[in-house]
Amino acid sequence: MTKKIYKLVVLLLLCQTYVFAQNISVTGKVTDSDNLPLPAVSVKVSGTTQGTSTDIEGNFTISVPSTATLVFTYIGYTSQSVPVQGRTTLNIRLAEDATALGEVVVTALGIERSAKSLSYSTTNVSAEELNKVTGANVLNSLAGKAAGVFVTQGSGGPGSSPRIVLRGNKSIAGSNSPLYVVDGVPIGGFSDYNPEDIESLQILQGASAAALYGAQAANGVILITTKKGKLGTTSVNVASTATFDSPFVLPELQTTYGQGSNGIASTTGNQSWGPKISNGSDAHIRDFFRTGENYVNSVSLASGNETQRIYISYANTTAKAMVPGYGYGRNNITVRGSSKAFNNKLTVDGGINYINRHTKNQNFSGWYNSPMFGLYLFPMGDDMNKYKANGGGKWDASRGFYVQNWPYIVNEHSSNQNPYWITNKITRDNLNQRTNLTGSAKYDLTNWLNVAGRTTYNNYGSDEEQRFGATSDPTSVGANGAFNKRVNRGSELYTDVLLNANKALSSNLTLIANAGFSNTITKFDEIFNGNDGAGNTLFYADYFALQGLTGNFISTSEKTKRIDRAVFGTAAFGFKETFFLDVTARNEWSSTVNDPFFYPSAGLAYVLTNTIGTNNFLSYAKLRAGYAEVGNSLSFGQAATNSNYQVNTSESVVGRPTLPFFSGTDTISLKPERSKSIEFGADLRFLKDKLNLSVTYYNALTEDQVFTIAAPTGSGATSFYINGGTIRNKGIEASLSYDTKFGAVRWTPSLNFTRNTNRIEELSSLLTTDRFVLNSGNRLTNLFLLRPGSSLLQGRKYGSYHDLFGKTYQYDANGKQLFDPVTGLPVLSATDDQFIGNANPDFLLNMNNNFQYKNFNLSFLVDGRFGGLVSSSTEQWLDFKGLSKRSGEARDAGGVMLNGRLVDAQTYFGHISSKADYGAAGLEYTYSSTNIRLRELALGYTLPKFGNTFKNVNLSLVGRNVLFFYKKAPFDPELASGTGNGAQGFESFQIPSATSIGLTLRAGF
Amino acid sequence: MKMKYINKNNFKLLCLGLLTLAAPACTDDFEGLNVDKGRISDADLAKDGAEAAFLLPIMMNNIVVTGTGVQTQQNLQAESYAGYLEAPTAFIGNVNTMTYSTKGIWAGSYDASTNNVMNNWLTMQKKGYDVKYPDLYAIGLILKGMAGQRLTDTFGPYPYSKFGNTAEPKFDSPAEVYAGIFADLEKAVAALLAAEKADPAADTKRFAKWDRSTFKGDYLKWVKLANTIRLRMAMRISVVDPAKGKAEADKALLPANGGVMDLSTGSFQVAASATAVNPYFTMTNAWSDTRMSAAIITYLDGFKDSRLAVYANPATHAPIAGTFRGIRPGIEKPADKKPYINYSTFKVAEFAPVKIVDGAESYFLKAEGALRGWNVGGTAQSLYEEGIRASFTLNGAGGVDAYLNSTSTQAAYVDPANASLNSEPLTSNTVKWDEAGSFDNKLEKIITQKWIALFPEGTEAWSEFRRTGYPAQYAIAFPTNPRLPKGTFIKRLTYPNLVASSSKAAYDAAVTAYLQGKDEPDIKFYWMK
Repeated sequence: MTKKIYKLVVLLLLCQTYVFAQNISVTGKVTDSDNLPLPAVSVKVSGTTQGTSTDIEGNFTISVPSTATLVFTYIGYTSQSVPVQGRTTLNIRLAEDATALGEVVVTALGIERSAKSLSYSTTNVSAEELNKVTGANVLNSLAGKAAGVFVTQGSGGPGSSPRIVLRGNKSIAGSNSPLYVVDGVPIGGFSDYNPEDIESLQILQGASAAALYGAQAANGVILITTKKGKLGTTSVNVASTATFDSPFVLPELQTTYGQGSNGIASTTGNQSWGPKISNGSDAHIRDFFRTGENYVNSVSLASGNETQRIYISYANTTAKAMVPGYGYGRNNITVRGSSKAFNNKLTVDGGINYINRHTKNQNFSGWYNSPMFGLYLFPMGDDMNKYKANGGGKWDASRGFYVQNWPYIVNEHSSNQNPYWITNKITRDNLNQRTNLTGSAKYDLTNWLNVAGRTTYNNYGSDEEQRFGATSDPTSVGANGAFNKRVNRGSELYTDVLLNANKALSSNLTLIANAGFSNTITKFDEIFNGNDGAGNTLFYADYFALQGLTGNFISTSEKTKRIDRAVFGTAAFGFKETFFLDVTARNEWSSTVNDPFFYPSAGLAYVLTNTIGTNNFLSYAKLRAGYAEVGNSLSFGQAATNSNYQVNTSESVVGRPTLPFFSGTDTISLKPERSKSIEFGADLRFLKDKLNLSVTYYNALTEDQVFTIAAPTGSGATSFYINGGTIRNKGIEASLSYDTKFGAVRWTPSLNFTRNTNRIEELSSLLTTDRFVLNSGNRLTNLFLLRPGSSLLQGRKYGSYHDLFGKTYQYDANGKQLFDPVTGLPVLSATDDQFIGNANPDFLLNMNNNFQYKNFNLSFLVDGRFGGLVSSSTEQWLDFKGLSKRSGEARDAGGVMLNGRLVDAQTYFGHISSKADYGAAGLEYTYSSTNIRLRELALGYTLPKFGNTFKNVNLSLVGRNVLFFYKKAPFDPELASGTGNGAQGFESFQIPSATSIGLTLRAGF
Repeated sequence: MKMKYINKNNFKLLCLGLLTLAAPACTDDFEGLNVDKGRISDADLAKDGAEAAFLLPIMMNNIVVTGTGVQTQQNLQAESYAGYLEAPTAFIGNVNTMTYSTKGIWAGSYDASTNNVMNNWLTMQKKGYDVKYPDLYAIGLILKGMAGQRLTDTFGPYPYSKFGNTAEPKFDSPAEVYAGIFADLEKAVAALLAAEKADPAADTKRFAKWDRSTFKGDYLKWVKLANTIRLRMAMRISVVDPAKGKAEADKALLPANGGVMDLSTGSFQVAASATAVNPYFTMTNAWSDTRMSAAIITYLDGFKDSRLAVYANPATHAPIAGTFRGIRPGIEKPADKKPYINYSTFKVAEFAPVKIVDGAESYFLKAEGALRGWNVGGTAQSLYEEGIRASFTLNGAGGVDAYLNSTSTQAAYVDPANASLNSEPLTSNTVKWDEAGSFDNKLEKIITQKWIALFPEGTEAWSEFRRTGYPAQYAIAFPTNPRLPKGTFIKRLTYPNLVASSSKAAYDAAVTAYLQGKDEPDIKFYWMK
């Protein structure tokens, strides 16, 4: 395959032979307005295709007819045409193009293109902006930085990654995560990278890069350009951040009523429906947390000369989470170097990126084994100090060790355990290592054509141990404790070969084109050994080793490999720097898909101001439109009709529970998902570029969505993989920025607006059911996909992804709420399939403000999320246990007034919470996610230049999640129980999100 | 080819050209990649003849689930309705299957056997094993029949005959399901007898390794199992379809067909493996989620039945410590389970297999057959007494001779935690046979003794209670379903929500045709009294 491409290269080379006579040799130097050399400036002979470019020192030599005119062009600068007029030396100073200032965009393949030539929406986030408030996870810093970006915090604690979605959820079962591309090469994930290595970050909200990188790019791309060595100088940069965390939001509890039931004190259960007490306090919750500490220290060295450049960095992240015992450490080492040879025609680039992450004692979140569960549900009036000592244990003389000291261990739909026991005796440690080797070579065949090859090998492994001390939760842990060990390793080997052309076809027509081939090999291996719930325990108490496992313990291994190959081509034509046309095409072969698949895209940009001219009001206007199709290869194993069988703990073969859809003997061949999107946009600048507005409308249809559905009974499978539906996402992204001065103060505010709506247009006609059940079982809300026309739509024409269904209140024909005539309690719907709302926000609106006064810089980000729902299992349990604030207020009022009748508070809250089990009034525990917060705050001071050693020193006071301006839910509504597709819109005893305050110091030498 | 002539179309052509050149080489190494190599392949299973039988263990482990899945399969349903075992736990605020709220919860009663028995039988059939390995396929058919019988008895209509024919098969009426199972069992018995005849060692060579039951791969014992199920089903329809019932019973008992289970076969019991923990042990100890039910204790206690100490441990709750005490079914349980958590527990060994069919059942089926005038080779009394003796033997209990002459009755029930649950004996039935008694008296004796023998296999006991009304059971005290008010007994389980939503058309048709249009737990069907 590669050979064939080389043949093509040779073929193309033959096309390029021109001969000129009677030439003179012209040399010169091109500099910018500060008289600094400009390398890589295009020097062309007007009216021909002949040309060269400047070297690293800005020098050029070209042999031209003495009457020729040379055209000097460089992105971001105004072109100059200079007649040679027989001169042999020409020194040129290029002026920065005011209308194109800062408008160089790194496109998907690492090619720099002028922003005006792009036919799609993109947003640049500078490293400075991204790292203003540094945290353990760089991706958390993306929230509020660009239009079209949805960020959901992970399950809490350092080391957990957020969910990032661009332009809404397009895939139901597949990934909705954007693709991360570092220096032109796609990588698996980015959350553990050293943020200080980032030079700039570019967000491509749409599918424009899909031809180059394949399906995952349909979810958008985040392009990261990392720092490389700097020319001519050696610089050392040090950045140091210390931030301190405290819980942002804690549950609001009643403190008036003590332990007991029906108003009678009792210490047997953990309910707080007892009599009024005077010693009530919720201080044990805040006391449980410690001040979280995060230290991020990094140092980097960059150096370079004309042909060699090197960049070395080291970063260390050390964090102590707010939950005691939970720690996180990470080391990042990056080495990058590049070198030029053969008259600078060959550029070789190589890098090593090593990351090791160590998570110590990361607690579980949710119901089982979560310290939050026992902590939040601790009965009012009891004293937590009684249970703190000895790691939450008490001496058991007969067993000879400390056993869990907790009178509230009871199996009631979940396990309640001593939070101090959990943090000491239920531990989860994870060591994760990742090495990324990259290498690339580019050879300039001519000044307009090069061939490049790149490869990256990402090798990772993790080792996780979970230890459950003897006398942990008896419902899931045997008497001697439990041990789980999971070891895995994986790798991705990505290789591509590209032929890149960048050429002026005539004085009016330019072309940037490339054709390439890529190959990706993905391997994964995992072994797991562990106890099988309460029915299986360790032979020796607390002996946590594989030899300690006995009986029918779980032992599994997984070994998978996939290969994805593609050929692709792109071409971007520019006409008179005014009209730009992009076309792309890609054909893929994947070992997960039976047939190869092809997809194209096209885009058009028109710089309107080149036609109508500019004026004092309108300084720039560009219109753009694009259409892209993307095929998404299937997940591993989905299309396999003869998948291998699982063997269970008893050596029995388990049948194949999930298969590609079949009906009798007919089996479908699963097709790749296909997304078809159009986008229209405009980039406008007003008032001499002071006011910038960018607006994009998009409409994306994803067809043949592959998902797993419950198979109809009697079909012969438990679940089917099926091309089951069509989803449409449409929306608007807009950003507005302004740059003005009030005296000595420069104010640069920016506003981002993101709105996405989603609807399910179609469900597969292979089945007759009106709904596919995506997720059920959280006891409050279910996720269904509804077929248009389903009665459960309750009058709506279409359902949406992440619609929440649950039990609601009942009303009579006149809209009057129904109450049980005997008990007076509200009547709930018979089943939990009533529409409640959607988990996704209606729109996001955020405003970033930056004030610069002399050496001071103040910036703050106000982030608003409007609409969307989240249901809370925590609140359900607090109601059930009589701990919620409103349950106290209801008792103060003598009960709950319903339909003119006073109903006992315990009865009422037991009814609507269904005592924390299935059947609760889902509606009652579903909250609006609307919130407006001060997400980031930074006050910086740059020291005046002193001495020769320091180039710059900047000190900043930083804050994250500083305060809520507005919030409806009694918890942080951006916390979800997980980052998976099915976990959205649900909160359950999550570790609270953190308010962080700290200091950052940056110094350059 | 000059670059400037490469327009969009040419460009596509270029790409397509590349494609054609590359296409064959691109996928050569894809073969066999799309499966997890950590799992076992069909090719691996072809070795040592494993492919013929490898699905049978998982199937036999999902008739009565031999893992903790049994909790939501039948422990919280049939075993409660049968008066055997009762949870001290207030699942879902006591609004659950034990208090007759069946909808939207715990799909295991339906799913366990459907997914793990029926689906795997279909795999065997699709692979052509009925022709290739008729004997092992016959074991699969017996397991399928056993699963189908329990599913239709629990729910009513079930897609048995068209299972796997299409993606959305219709549901059979319960009578159609029964007819289908009779046919399957007949085919299975014939195949096993033929294999045994051809090579008496076929079973040990081919099946013993895969048999997780106490029958240890013996085809002739499996034949007896199939015939016992057939006899059980024949008896079930003895009133609603007497001719068919008698005919099927005759075939089940025909000596040439291999006979039914007896003391020599013992009970049919299955374990996941020799080291697998019995799920009732986990539910009793680690989870504290199951305790003895009131009825089994009061009957055994009243009858002075020595099997009581075999089945149960004495209570530890202070006021009744040392005595045997069960929990009345379907009561309102406190959130902390107290004091019911300290009532009598099920005396189950940690590594005991799970009983699916009791070895004494066939005696009682024959006794009832004799009562109904069927040709079963004995009198009702002799078979009744033989059944009791068999059960005592199987349980290692003593004093059977005195027991057979016992005229004591069920004990009164006293709940020290809630006097309103106290109850006088529900019946004056005794153990001692009374030849002069009425048909109903005799039937009550037979079914009551069968019920004691079957403990704790609740699904069959509940079916027989629904068919005969015996033994008299305590009504649930805290009904939460208005369709089943106090004093009534549940007739069936409702289908899981997922069945209703994923198979809507077939479900709607079945409910309309066979359940009076109502998928409700008070609807009777087919053989029910």
